[in-house]
Amino acid sequence: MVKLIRSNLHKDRAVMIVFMLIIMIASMLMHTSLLINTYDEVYDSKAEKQDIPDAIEQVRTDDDISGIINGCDKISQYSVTDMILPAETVFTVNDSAKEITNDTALFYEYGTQGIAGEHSFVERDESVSGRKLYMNLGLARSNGINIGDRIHLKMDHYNGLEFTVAGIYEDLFNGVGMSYNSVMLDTQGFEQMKACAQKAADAGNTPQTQKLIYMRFVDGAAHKDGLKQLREAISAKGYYNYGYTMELARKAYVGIITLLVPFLSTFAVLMILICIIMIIFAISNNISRDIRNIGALRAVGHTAGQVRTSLTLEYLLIGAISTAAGTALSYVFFPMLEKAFLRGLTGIVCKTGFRPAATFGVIACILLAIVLTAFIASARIKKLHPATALRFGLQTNSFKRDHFPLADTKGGLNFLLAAKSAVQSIGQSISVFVVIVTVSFLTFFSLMLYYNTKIDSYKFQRLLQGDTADAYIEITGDEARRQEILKELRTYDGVSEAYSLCFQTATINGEDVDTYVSAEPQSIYCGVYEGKMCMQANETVIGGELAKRLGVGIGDEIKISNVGRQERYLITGFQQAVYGLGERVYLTDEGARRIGLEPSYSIIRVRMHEPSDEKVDKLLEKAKAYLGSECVSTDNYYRYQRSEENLPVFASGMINVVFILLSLVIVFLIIRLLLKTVFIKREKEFGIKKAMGFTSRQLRLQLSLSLLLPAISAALLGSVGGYFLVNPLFNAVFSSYGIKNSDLTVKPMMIAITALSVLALVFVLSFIMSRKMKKVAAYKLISE
Amino acid sequence: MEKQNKKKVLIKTEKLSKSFSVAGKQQHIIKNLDLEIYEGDFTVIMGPSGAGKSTLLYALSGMDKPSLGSINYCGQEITAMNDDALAVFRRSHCGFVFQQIYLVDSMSIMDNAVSTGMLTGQKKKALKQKALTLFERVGISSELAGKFPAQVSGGEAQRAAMVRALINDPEVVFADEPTGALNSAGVKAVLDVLTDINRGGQSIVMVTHDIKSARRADRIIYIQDGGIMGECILGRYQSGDKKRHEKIRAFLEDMGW
Ligand SMILES: Nc1ncnc2c1ncn2[C@@H]1O[C@H](COP(=O)(O)OP(=O)(O)O)[C@@H](O)[C@H]1O
Ligand SMILES: [Mg+2]
Repeated sequence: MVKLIRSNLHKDRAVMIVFMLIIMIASMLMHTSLLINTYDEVYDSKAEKQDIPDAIEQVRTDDDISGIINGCDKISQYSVTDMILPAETVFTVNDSAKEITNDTALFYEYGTQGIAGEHSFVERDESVSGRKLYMNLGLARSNGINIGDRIHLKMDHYNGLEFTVAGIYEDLFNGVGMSYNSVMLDTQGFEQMKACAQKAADAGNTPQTQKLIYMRFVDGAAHKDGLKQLREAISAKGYYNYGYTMELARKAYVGIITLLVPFLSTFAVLMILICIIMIIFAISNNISRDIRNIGALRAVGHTAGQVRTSLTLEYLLIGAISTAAGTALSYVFFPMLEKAFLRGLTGIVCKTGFRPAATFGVIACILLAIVLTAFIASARIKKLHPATALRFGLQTNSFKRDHFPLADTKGGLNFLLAAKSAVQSIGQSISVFVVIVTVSFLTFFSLMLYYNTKIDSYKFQRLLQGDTADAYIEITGDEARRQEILKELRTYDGVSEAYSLCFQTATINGEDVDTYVSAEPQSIYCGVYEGKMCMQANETVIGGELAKRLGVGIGDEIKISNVGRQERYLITGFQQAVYGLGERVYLTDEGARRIGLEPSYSIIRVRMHEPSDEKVDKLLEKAKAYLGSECVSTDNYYRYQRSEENLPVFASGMINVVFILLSLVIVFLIIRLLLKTVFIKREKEFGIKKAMGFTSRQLRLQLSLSLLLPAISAALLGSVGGYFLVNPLFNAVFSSYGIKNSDLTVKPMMIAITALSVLALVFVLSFIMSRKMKKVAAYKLISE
Repeated sequence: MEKQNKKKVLIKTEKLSKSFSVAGKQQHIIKNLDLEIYEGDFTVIMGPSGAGKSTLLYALSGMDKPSLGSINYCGQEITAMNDDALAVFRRSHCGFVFQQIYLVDSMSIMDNAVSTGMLTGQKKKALKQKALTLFERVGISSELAGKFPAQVSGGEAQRAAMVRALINDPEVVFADEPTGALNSAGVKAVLDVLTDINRGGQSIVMVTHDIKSARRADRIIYIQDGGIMGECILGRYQSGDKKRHEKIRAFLEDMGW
């Protein structure tokens, strides 16, 4: 029996290698997605080890606020740090080799983290010359900044100083693209920067110096409630403030990365499915080919069970080697991926030691699937009578029906012969079908994602962020002046909307909710997927997730309150967005003022008809020229949204690359596998046909067409499936992120592009890879 | 000899050599062989096993390329052709019959013939008609023609294979021990067909081991150690010709058969 296994392995070595590769990739992907899935844990264990505070709060003031904090009974411990929080910082790296503009950087003095303690350094070199700067890992990695780099800081209106990077550290609160990014300066440097900021504020600019409060709460107090108490106390004094708990911070760190997990593991599962199909196909081939051997074994007394077991063991052996290799590779690749991408994406270092549960879990699951498949697929052996097997051998799979008799069927010779073999090699055709359905679906998905992030990304951005615009202009001046400016901007070429949207915090049922207020609600596209935008003072639009939690519907009234004042608002629509997790509330300006909110519209959003980087730049130039000193800052958001700096775009780019690469690899491997089997099975037939005068090119064409025929319906099914399913899939995957009714753009054209490119790939690859046909010689027949 | 010279040369080889490398060692199977095959002849090639008969046959028919020397087919130098050109050459000039029959298992007997016929661009309707006529000529019913190779007897399969060989009206049919695997009734039927088509003007080049088959030849060439040992001219076959049998036996004895 062992001999039988070994001889099979030897004969099919080429086929088995392809098999092993597929299983290896599947197990590598699955294992990697499990490793990525540990980011939650990694963050938590770091948080515990560094004993990070429970919450953080930014307060825009230079006054002493310890009195306010002391008045909060839920806070057990706190520290206050001075920081500089510019609206925009320009980092010029190594004498303008690189210029990075960032609006989330905050600066404080090294050593003043108070109860947050010392940040954990990833790299450090105190021997660098000049003023020292320490940067958090996320900011450093996503911008390619290293120890020893010289960085010149320019904050808003004033030129700052030059520093040298002396350390890179993990900051578990202010250290990732989606939240704020901390940068620490040496004492002298920080004092000098603070003086500059002070001067700018004295000159009438928005003050940049703020307080950063780290806090811990008394036992039993929910972090959210503790923070709320503080924020209410601070708001009551009229200070602008912003804060979040460690639970929210963690979401910002691991949110994007854990989004990758469902995609990767779905892909891995699909690959395993493909594997299963291929095992069924290969086993049925094995049985047909080795039918005499099997007959002989049974004739000398082996039971059907023994023969089946030996076949199954063969696959178990292959599976064991490949899953072990796949998981091992995942341990090799993950650290590379982690260093190159994930650190920038998550802001934390993730060192995965050996993870036995993940590793053995993946190995066990895949092996179980393989063994079950092999055992079930070999059930045919049970029905095989030894005498029949010995006598008829291969002829048991004799061809019974005459499909497409050549003389009576329309079509060319190559096409008809391809059709015949597609129908006769039903196992092969089913394999192609399943694989191509999968690959087409993934390709459609990638194409859709590409279109929605690179070509027309409005819907994608709105799904993520709610309302977005192409240009942001920060202005000074009162409401009357703002109205004038809006009027002016609306006359500019290409401008479709000019409006403001202000972020506030209100309360529903005692819970803080992010509240967005606008005096121009008609201009807001905040992702209303049901109902309509609120236009009247007594109307509101709320996040779908929030509505579900509150159990309210459109047409219901909800009470929204703020510092003791409460009003009832009519829900006119539901809104969705990943940011805010579907928990936002939108109000009109008048509606917000009814509960004492005081929205300030210092930022004007401008949306354009058919914008482009250049058009937005031009618009901003024109606006700056018009506004003069009234313009605080501008931002070409159109450009930002499409850049890799925009993490979701970066992440979907990564998903695209992974999907497309793996699709290519799968198609390549499967075609290779099928062709190997075809050449083992049909070499004699090809020799005969060559003798009859078929050219290699004709035979290759027939072979490629026979793979292409089942692929045609599969490619159509896969891409049409994609067309109808990507949005529901998005809803399912992102439901807990607030997405209820994804409306990403899908176009019938994408079906055509996907199907055609997948089919072209199948045809071209199989034609190229069947060049072995040239070596099949007619004269081989002699030596038979 | 006078009479032979009047015949038109169909295939002419000059210094034809073929060697295979087996386990790194060159084995010379055909050595400097000069041979002419005449149009309209039923040529039989005989010789001991392993002499290189099949190797010669497949070189003559453009199925395999010689190592050295030239093969000229009606003025065309086929040794200069690439693989695909050779395939086109084979489909339009040659028919093949093998000891192992070599029908394509996955196609019906009819389609085995029709697919070969379609290679030369014949129209389907006419092709089917022609195939049916040929099947009738070799004694295969249209019902049988609809079956698959595995469903018929060896003799029937070989006759079906002859239809495939004839479907493109080849100038020459190459047969490598076509009767080797058949019972005596099968042998006779196949030989009758070959004789019959030869009478119709098509040339035959057949390798055989069997004196009874060799009787059908106009000319027998004896091959040994990669060269021509001798040849025997017999003239047209007539059944019941006792002398013919004796002549062949004497020739073979001479050759050390
Ligand atoms: N493709 C090949 N590779 C190596 N040796 C070959 C090949 N084809 C034939 N031979 C060898 O050439 C010799 C002649 O073979 P063949 O022409 O088949 O002889 P026969 O006269 O019996 O038909 C044999 O020894 C055979 O082993
Ligand atoms: Mg031979």
